[in-house]
Amino acid sequence: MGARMMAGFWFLIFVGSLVVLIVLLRRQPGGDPYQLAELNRPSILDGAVVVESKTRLTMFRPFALHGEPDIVYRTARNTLLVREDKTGFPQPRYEQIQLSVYAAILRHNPPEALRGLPVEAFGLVRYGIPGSRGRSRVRWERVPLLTDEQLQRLIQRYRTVRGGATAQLTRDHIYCAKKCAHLGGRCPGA
Amino acid sequence: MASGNRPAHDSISATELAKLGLCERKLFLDHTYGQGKDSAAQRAAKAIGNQVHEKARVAAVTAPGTVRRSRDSRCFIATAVYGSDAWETELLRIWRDEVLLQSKAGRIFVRVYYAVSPPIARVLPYMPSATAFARAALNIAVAVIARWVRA
Repeated sequence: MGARMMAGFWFLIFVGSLVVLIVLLRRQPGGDPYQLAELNRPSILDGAVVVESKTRLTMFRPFALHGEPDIVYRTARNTLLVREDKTGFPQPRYEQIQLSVYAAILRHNPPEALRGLPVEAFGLVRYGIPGSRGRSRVRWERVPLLTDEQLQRLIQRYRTVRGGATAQLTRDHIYCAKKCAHLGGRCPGA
Repeated sequence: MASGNRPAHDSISATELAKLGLCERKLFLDHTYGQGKDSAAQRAAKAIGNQVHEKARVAAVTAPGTVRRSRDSRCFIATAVYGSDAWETELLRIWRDEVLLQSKAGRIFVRVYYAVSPPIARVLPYMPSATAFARAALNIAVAVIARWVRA
């Protein structure tokens, strides 16, 4: 009986030690996952300087647009580069329009300190949520930006869609059920 | 006519225009009937998304090798200890701008600091032991602020 109890005791000690060891080993590469994710940035950001973050940018000509980019970098080659962080499902067209607006504002009406700096023809989107223990589930995407002409056409489309003067394109039902607050919200138009 | 950084009344936000890339129907409904009411699950998902998004932004701004240019570059003692372009100095400037200057007590602290610190910063280069002490104290402050920023 005593021998069996001793064996049980040592078995528990063994299992407990294993658990502690596993926990410690899993924690080893630790650190802040968000900071770790920043270490694997695209090479264009090497030596880049954050010049704006969540600052309201506006322009009135050639069209009136405003927005708050997540980050604006001045790159090592002295250009401006806009970046957005997305934690949800990728919506490439959405991200492209957003970044294009920020870039257009920086081209036409940059903050005084950034005047004269060319704006890159692409932006960066960082998708995903950094995983714990250094396991990054982050992906970077280089997004080609829209030209002023394309933005102008978008703005016209925006006004006609909002005015209800044209048929509106819709998304698939799965997307609507998940994302649209009008569905199930007693919205008479949904 | 709009002036400064205030958008004109017919100005379109980037987020609003980008809705064209999601669902034109939703854009029309938002405009005609208001934004609609999110379900509890949608609200929870948005709250988590916003939190994660802000953490990612702060990590990007404070990432090693990246320097955020603060509007006011004064930070006398930190500049004397770390150098003007060091990330520690920038972190302290960001903390001053985004935390201290947001409260009355913080603004008073900053004002007092700016009155007291220039003469201290001037003598620090000639007093290695005082510099070491200031560096040790600032290291603790920087570590605490960095942890707070990442929290």
